Amino acid sequence: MSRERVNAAIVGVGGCLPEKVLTNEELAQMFSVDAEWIEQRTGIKERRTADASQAASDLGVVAAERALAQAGISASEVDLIIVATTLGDMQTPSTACIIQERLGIKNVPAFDLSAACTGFVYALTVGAQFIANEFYRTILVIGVDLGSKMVNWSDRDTCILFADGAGAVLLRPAKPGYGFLAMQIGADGSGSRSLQIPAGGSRMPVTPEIIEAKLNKVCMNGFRIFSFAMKKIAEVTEQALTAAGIRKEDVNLIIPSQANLRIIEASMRLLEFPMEKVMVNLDKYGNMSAASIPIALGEAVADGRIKPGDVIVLTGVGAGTTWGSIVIRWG
Amino acid sequence: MATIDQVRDLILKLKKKNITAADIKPEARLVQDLKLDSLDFAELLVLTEDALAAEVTHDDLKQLTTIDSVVAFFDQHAKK
Repeated sequence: MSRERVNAAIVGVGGCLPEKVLTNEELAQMFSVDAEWIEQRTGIKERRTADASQAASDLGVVAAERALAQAGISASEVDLIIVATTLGDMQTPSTACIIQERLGIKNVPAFDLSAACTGFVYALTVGAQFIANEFYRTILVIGVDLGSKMVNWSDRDTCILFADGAGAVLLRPAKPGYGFLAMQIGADGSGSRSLQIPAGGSRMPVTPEIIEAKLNKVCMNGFRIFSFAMKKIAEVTEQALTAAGIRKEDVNLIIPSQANLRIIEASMRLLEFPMEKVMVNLDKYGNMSAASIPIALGEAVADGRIKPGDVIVLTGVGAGTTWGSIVIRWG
Repeated sequence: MATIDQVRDLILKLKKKNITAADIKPEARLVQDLKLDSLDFAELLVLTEDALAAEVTHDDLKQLTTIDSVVAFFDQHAKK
């Protein structure tokens, strides 16, 4: 007799946001853009930015500690750490190793995963495999990005969007019928030029000229990314729901990448899904890339928007291009 | 359904507060009259691709300046 697959479940969630608030009005003054134009174009009213001394691990550790506390799990019980991030503390070692030490965890494997704004969904999907094959029992997954340190502060199209934060969850085996019911991830490398940080890797080492040209910062073709994101959020959410055998009408909450309100609204129109059942918090935080979904999830749980037995969907899209969607029965 | 009606439905799907069905006349200009911005065009691209089951390039999109031109584009691709 074959055994039932063991689903992963999220048993604790925590977030960390820098204290400093950057409003549209401040950006309007700093960069000759209009505050209303920013909100009309993005849905963002304000965002958080780290100070010069803060790095990815500083936010990631706090988010992890909060997730552990909420789950009632001690750091010593963690079997594996996965950190989804675009710009970790340094090129090497991984931010996951730095966070491991700071949490006082010894010897367990720790690695970073790069899938931009889809990073958290990718990381959950990877973590869930270790739960399914019963290789590990307690997995810490962190999404952290410091967009303010990735953008070119003279490029208004990106500096109004990206922001800083970290979110973390603990995965454990779910009780039967609960947890991750279906996972879909994908990528299309032909879209890699739509959103990239060209310099800083082995292709284009950073030189004074590169810094002058800002090629070590985010370069974005907003039009291409918008149409990709809109279409793909709808498509991959639909695919994941089909794989889970769940009807759209039975979904209680969708938590999409918080890239841009107009992308979310357009994709939900395409999916024919009501915005009342979509989690949006980008008005307060902007696009925190890999951190957006776990922070939105934490807020939804805290606000009582997710109850045991609810069906929720986490859907991410991002640079690569990459996409992923996970259908979860909560509890 | 006449093509103009198909295009009217598609533009209304953008859910722009300032656009009613009566505004979507053949001569209406997408940018100047209907006030579509670049993000609306990105959405229009996806909706058009869905409606025609065909790829719409950035160059195609540049030709779409009026409702009439969108209707002509639909007619041209529907025949293929």
